[in-house]
Order: sequence, then C-alpha cells, then structure tokens
Amino acid sequence: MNGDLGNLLTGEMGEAEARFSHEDFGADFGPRIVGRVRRRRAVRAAGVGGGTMLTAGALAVGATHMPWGVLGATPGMGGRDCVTTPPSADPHVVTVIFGGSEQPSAQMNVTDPVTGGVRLTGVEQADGTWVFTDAAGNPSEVTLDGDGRYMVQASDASWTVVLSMPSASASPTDPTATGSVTYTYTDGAQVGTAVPSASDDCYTPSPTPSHVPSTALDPVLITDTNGYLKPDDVTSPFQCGFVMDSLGHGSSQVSITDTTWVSPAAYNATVKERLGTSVGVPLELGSAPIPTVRIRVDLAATTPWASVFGVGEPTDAMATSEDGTPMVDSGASFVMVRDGVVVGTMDTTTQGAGQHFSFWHDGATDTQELTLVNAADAFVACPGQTLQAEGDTTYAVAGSYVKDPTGTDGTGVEYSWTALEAN
Amino acid sequence: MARWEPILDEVMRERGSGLLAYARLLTGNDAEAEDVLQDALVRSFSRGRQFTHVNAAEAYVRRAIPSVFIDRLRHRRTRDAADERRTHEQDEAVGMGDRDAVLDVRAALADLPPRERACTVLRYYDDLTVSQIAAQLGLADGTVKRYLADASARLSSVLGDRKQHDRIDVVTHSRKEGR
Repeated sequence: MNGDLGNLLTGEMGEAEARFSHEDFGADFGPRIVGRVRRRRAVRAAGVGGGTMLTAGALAVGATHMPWGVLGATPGMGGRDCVTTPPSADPHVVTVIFGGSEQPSAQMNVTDPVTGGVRLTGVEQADGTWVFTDAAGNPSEVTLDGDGRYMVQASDASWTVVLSMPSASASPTDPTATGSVTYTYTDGAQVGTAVPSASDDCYTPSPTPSHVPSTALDPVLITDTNGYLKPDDVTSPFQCGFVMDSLGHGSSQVSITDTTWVSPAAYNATVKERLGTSVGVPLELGSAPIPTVRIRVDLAATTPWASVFGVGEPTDAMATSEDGTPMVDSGASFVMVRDGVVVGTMDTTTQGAGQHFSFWHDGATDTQELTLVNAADAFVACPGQTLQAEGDTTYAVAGSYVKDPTGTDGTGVEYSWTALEAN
Repeated sequence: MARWEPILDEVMRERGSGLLAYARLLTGNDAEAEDVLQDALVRSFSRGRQFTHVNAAEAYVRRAIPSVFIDRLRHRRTRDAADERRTHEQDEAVGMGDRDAVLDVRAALADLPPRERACTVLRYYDDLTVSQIAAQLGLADGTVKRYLADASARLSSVLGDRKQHDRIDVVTHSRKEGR
C-alpha cells in the first residue's frame, strides 16, 4: 500500500466486505453464473462460437476448412437430409451431451466397451476449439445436422459422435442404459456414459471436404494416461513413457530452482503461518518428509496479470489472451520415474480433503512452490506398470508456454524437471 | 458435476464477499460490482482453465475484475456516458477503521471518472506500478499517468491533505479538459 490512501482504500474494502458478507452471492447469482459458464464451455467444446466463430474460421481458412475438423455444413445449411442407409453395416451413434452434469475438459475419448480401444478422440485446442481424430489418428469430419447438433464421424464412417448442445437436450443420456459406451477424459477417470444406438434413424451424410486438410488438421497429441499414447506422441515429462535423459533439466523459460524437505509438522506450521485460519483445503499430511519445489517462470514476455500457473501440462489449461497481451501458461506436477522413464503420474483429480499437492506463490521471490503434501496414493501407475515404493524415484516436472498475442504458439512448451532425493 | 464447478462454487461462497468488495472499489456501486463479478467469474471459468485450488481461482478472478470493468466501460461509453459519474450511497455499518475516512474516500472515489477510479485502486490498493496498470487495463503508460495525476488532483480537493503523501510525480503534457 502507498501511505494513507492505501490505508483508506483498505478500510473501504473492509467495510464493503463486511457489508457483503451478509449477502449470499453464490445463492443469488450462482445458478446463473454456472449456467453461463456451462453454455460457454459447451459452445467452445463443440467448436462453435455461435455463428461468429464459424464465420471467422471460414473466412480465415476457407469455406469448408475449419481448424477443428472438416466442416461439412455451415449454420443454416444443415437441413435434415436423412438417409435410410447408414454408412456402414454396423454403425454406432454416441451422443455426448455438453451442458449436462458432465462436461469435457481438454480431451474426450470415446471408448469401445468391447475392445477397450479408443474410437474417437477430441482434444481441445489452444483457442478453445476441438479437433477430433479417429483411432488411426486421422482427422474426423464434423457435420452439422438440422437440429443444430454437431456430429463427428470416424474416418471409416463406423462411428459417429453427436455433440448435443445444451439447448437441444437438458439432461445427460441415461448412463444405466444397456449397451452403453463409455467416454473418458484426459485424466483417465470415467465420468459418464453414452448410449449407442443403431443408426437407422435420420443420418446426415458428410459432404466431401473441399480440399485436403492442412497442418491445422494434423492429429494433436493425446496427453492422457490411458495407454493410447504412441511412442512418438510422448514429448512431455508430464506423460507416461517420457524418457528423462538426466536427473535435472531446465530452460530459460522455466526452471526448478530448488527442493526442500520438511517434516509434516513443520509444513503444517508453515501453512498456518501463511494462511492463518483461512486454509482453503484441509490438508491430510502423511508421516513422511514432505518435498517442496520452487519453480521460476520467466514472465518477461508478458505481465504477471497475463499468466496462469496450475497443476499439470501447461497446454492443458491454455489461456487465451483477450487484450493482445502475450499469455504465459505454466504448470507443474510430480511423476514417478523408473530407469529414466515416467511410470506414474500424479493424481490431480482429488480435490479438497485428500488432495495430494499444494500451491504457494512466493511474492518475495516471485516463484511458485509446489508441494507433494501426501505421497500416499498420490500416483497413478501408467498402463502396464506397477509402482514400486522402493524402486521408483519422484521427479518434479514443470512446463511453461508463451503464447503470442495472435493466439498462435510463441515458443512451444519448455520443460524443466528434477529428481527428488529423499533426505 | 464437472471438475470446475466445485471450485467455482467455493469461490462464490467463500470468497464472494471479498471479491464483491474489490469490484465495489472499482465500480463505485453495489449493483455494478455484482455485474462485474459475475462477468469476471464467467470469463475466468469459461476458458478451460483447470483451477486446482480456490486460492488460485480467486486470484485469477480478482485479476479479471479490473479488465472486465474497463471492458464494460468501453462497451457502455457510447450509450451511457452520462451515467458514469453516478454517486451511490451506502449506509450500512462500518466494520472497522475510521468511519469518516472511509465515507470520505468512498465519496471521493465515487466522484472519480471510472477509469481514474480504476487506476487509483490498482495503484494505491493493489500497489501496482504504472506499467502494470497499463498492461492490465490495456492502456498506454502515459494515459495511466494522466489518469493518476487527475485523480490525485481531484482527491486532493476532496480529501484535503489526508492523502498528500500519496501523490505521485508524473509528467503530463497538459491538464485534460475532458474525457
């Protein structure tokens, strides 16, 4: 604060906060806000910014060439041109309803319940749009039907995913229906089901693309831990199978500067000292020493206000600059490594009680701290692996990504990692 | 429930009053503070970010509030410019501190044009530098300096020498005649 005016403003803040504390903002506005967020996420997930995004995309890349797939129809053109002959002998239609109780986050896989294989994968792009690829990694077409639903079709036309907008359906498909097909998200957790049905009802044929997809349609990396990664796809230390070619690595953009180990009691005292009684998450500490890594991110390319730091692969939470300011998206996590290969990734889905990690931003040094508050059950074994308490080494990994104001990749993701040696 | 929803719910329930108060500092009235906070929450949670802790989410929403406020001003300016200098009175109890001083500063802030008010809050409450304010609000450094200088002059006339120590040395080409 700067002198008296700062103190007066603080007083004003305190007075206003006390006054507002008698109101329940969440109860008054929560449902409306949640609804707006759901609609926006649903629209973004379907690659549709209303007509605006479609128009902009069409203008930018050509009449039928969209960055999230090959657009087979444009809004207003999707008449219900039903055909009675399905495109294959045994097609399936999987309806994924956005705006229901479940929503995708960064990646969506449609999984065959019989073989367990992924039939279609949708990955959210940095700009919020989605690119879908089939099991062979081929870009999948996206079509729009007369009801405003976007359908993604496997290249062999054997599968179709219907992306149902909130307005088209208010509730998720009944997950208990017989023969349901699961769809899973990036973290590997099964979050819902969708019902397949024979495609003997109306079906909108996919028009032939106007031209061969360009690099914008190249299959994107699948960053999940479900065992569907191809070796060439493993490019990040956050991913299963990544080879750590050294015990430590850093870059000018992001680096792990040091590691400290403290007892649970000492860490608990630190938390209380920092947060007082306002601890947001009831930490469940184990009995083992607790490691904390300090991570420095170079924000010279932007301002502190245009950066985001979270747990996990930075590209998973790619932020979008709204004011032309370069964005820096950074993230960190812990992984388990055996013989230089990542064999386990941290469970970042557990929130609140039982959460395995904790963040702290050290304003004095402008560094981030990531703490593995409880290593027990903190890691999920990679497919085909069994974690070994004595044989595996915990590594801290961090990544940072600078996105230039045009919304394109500025630097690519730079990574840093370090092996944690327990003391 | 999607992963973002518990965090959003927690932010609204546990941090809502603080965020509203911060928005109130910028907007000068309760109703607009509520609107700004709603927009800031929607903007913050709509872009696929995966907040892992309420603290991180709150910090992000807090940073979004000034930007939302300025964006709303830009959109509103052409249709509602005359409404920018409304004064709203709030008479609820003062929880702490010097009531007179709080009411003085509230009235003085309410009299400031919105952009000057935003710059003042970011400078003196958030302790940002001129460059940081400019970056956050999408303004030029010189514009921020001019707003701060004008605000400082206005506050001086209202608050007397209460905040004389807070004046900052800025170089302006001339006094603004209007905005």
